[in-house]
Amino acid sequence: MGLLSEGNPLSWEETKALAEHVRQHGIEQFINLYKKLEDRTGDVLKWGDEVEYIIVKFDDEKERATVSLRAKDLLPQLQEKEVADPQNVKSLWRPEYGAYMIEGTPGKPYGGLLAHFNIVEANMQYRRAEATTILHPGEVIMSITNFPRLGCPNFTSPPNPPTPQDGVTRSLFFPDDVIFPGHPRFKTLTSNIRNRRGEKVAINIPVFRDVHTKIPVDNSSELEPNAAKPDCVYMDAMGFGMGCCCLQLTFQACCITEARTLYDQLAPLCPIMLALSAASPIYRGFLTDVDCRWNVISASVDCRTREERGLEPLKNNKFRINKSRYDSIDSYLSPENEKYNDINIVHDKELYRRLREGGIDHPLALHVSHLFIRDTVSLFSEKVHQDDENDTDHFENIQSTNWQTMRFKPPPPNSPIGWRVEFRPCEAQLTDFENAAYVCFVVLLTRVILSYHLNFVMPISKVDENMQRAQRRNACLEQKFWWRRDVGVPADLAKQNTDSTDIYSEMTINEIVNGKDGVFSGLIPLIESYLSGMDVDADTHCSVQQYLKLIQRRASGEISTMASWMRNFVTTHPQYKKDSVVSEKINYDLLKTAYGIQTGTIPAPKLLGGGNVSKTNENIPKAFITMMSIRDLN
Amino acid sequence: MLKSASKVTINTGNVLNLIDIKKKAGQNVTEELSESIKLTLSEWSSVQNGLPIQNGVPENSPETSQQHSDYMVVSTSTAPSARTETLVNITRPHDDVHIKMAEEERKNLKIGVKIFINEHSTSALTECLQNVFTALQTEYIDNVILAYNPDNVNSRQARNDDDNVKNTSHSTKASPISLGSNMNISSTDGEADNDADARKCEAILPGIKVLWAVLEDYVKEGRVQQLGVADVGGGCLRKLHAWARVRPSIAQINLASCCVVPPSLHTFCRANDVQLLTHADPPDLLSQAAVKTLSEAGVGCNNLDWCARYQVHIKCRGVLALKGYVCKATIAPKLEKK
Repeated sequence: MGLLSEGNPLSWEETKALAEHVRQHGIEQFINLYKKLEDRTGDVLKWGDEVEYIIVKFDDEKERATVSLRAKDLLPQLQEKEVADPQNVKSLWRPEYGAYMIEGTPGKPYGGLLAHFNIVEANMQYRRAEATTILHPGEVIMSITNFPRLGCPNFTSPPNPPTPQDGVTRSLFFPDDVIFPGHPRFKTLTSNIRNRRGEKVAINIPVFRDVHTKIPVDNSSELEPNAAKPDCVYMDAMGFGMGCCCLQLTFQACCITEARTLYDQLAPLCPIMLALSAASPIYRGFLTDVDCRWNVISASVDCRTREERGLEPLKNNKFRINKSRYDSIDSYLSPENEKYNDINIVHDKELYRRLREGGIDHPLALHVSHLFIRDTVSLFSEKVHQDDENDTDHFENIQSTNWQTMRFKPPPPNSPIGWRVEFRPCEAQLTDFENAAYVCFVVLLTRVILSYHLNFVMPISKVDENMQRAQRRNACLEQKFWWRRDVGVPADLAKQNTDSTDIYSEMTINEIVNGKDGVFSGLIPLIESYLSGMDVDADTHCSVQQYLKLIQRRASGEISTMASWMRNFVTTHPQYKKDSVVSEKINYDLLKTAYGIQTGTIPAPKLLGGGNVSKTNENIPKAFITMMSIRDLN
Repeated sequence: MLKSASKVTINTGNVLNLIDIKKKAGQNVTEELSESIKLTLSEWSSVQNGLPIQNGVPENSPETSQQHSDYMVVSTSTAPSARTETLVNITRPHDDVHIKMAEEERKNLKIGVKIFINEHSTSALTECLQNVFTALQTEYIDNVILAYNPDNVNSRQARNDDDNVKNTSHSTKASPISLGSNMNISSTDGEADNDADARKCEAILPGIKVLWAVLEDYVKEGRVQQLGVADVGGGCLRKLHAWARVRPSIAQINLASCCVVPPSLHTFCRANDVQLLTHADPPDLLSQAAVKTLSEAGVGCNNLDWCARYQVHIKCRGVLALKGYVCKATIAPKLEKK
């Protein structure tokens, strides 16, 4: 979830006192970095995925499932190979916020050959198998977005009581010991976000109202009447959000211009992919009225003060801030898309001026000075004083704690890495097959966008609207989303009437993915057209077809999203009392069944469709390597 | 009105960003080719007749494009030198192939060409390649794939294909995805497949060898780097591989069978470093595409002698930079409007 600096964290008071220092130097560092790297070009496509996993422990006698707080034991073992031979490992393992979470990425980025799409799933399988071998009996790892009973009594192994009166979280539900203890960053962030905000974070997610659902949901609204809403599932800890698992993707662009293009073009896809990947309808043991984690995480790290949130007049703070630091992006970065930046981009005017003086153009200066309205919420004593010519820690400090749908990433100093873009909205899927499908779908779309010069950009206010719609119950099938009718606009044909409303219309996910006659050709037909113009090897094409078929069927409703599948499992469970409660037993059965699907022992035609076996392989056929080397001789 | 047929070469230029083609994403290759030809003819004839074109895209409702092509035909036939044998080169006036090619250094590009040809004529193939080199203005081509489908093989395959399409047409559109999963290509009855393969091989291998020799010369001259062949079975590929001086580096199979590749073909390709690639081209592309230009817009392209599709990729970035077709056609008088 961001930069892991080694060292000793400063107290909140010390950190707060250095906020301006970090900002000033962070901006100077960005300017220096930009000057050195703005002309960097010729980088090839490299990309990678990140999948997060929850360590689940099944107690088959008591029919209970809990999260196992063993990441700290597992990670050193998982990292042994990397420590010994960092260049030649197939997987990299990192800690995440939860003491029950681990994050795995491929050992090396994938490259620009289409054959690389065929090794994604095999690598995910490898990672899952690798982590599985060192688990204790009863433990499994699952790439589920949220543990359904996170924050319920005794939801951890070993059990830990929450400590509402002291510690860093002070939650009614979420004990501090559930935060990953192996690195100080996580507790420091938790504490500083709460301190900066001036109160605990408050997450209110509307409960799913079934026949016997009780309102108020529980006694939270009595205990904390100013924070908890009676008809919502109330959560009061960073862990409820940052303890969720995501599926993320990073691509290297050939140059800064292409990175901006991809950032802009993928932004409207974020809500679409969120709805398509929806996998988290249950929070703290209740079925809710949302299908996705996004707003939960957003509120879980909302460090804005009451003044900044507009609840009190501005006195001590500089800005009214409309969004949490974890939220959708506020602006496009390419100059030609500036006209679509139709929401108020809160930014630091002084820093903006400095960035412009430093040679940064308007949209990028606006973006960076927008990121930099935030204070640092995690600072290490060793990192306070830096060489702005060569270090970038202060820039990264603020950048990496702006958790937005997209991230625009400059090259690290003195590295072979180029300008990159990170795609962050997707929810983690249950199986490697699904995760590979979503990953390949998005990466293929980036290639289609670049090949056909597609234009998905729409006013950013509409993207924000779509973000909210995407999270509603069954949004994948029931919501409509703003979408561009004509995505193929060669520059010379563009009629510049951007405010004309008939450029956009509201479409279902099915129409966006599979096409709507006479209106939009559909993302999958576009991908198919692209593939027909590429040299694709048979096995890869077979796998990609299976992946596209999954997405196509999810979009059409032929099969369910994980969120719908879970919802259906709960509401048809014999012990479900139509009261929105996901009991210990239901939770156990749900996760047991999900685990069976994950391992292939339980068929799940409603979730996965039938016969979706890819031809994924650990290696690229030798003929393609040979082909590349022949060409390199020229 | 045109009295007799004229031979022409049609270079569509880059069709990747033609707005019409993009709106109908997922269309099949036959449609893409016929649409590209029609668009090229109408744009070219507009210019011949001094009609305005809006940046490469004329006002082309079906009616107007019919009228345009009507003008085109008249103007070529009435030109003093116009005779049946006169070869007119037709291109799109606002094509951006050379701009696209110039955007990247040649070493960063990979140019692939697939040649569709139904006769084993070395002069036709040479003419085709010359046209490709002219169209692309490049020193060398990275790979050339030969799709040789003599008519006797065609008719039989077309029937099979029709059956397959009928079987699958009830599923969501005729996208390759649904085709691929539903098509009944059994890899278990290997006997039958081998028999069919062997018969087909007998019919096409002699012709392929004649054409292959031409391609080999291009490789020797350094103008083509790798050769490939489309739609041959494992046995046939083995024979060609054994016979050829420049061995096939690429074997192309239909996308519909990519999940059920015959194990022998798969094994042979792995063992001999042959890239086994997919395509979505019908076996009788030439006749199908020609018919489509006739029946839909009355353009009057009633025969395609050969066709080459060129695709330019940006290496290591997975980007398709441009795509187009060069074809040799016989242009006939426009059909009367009904």
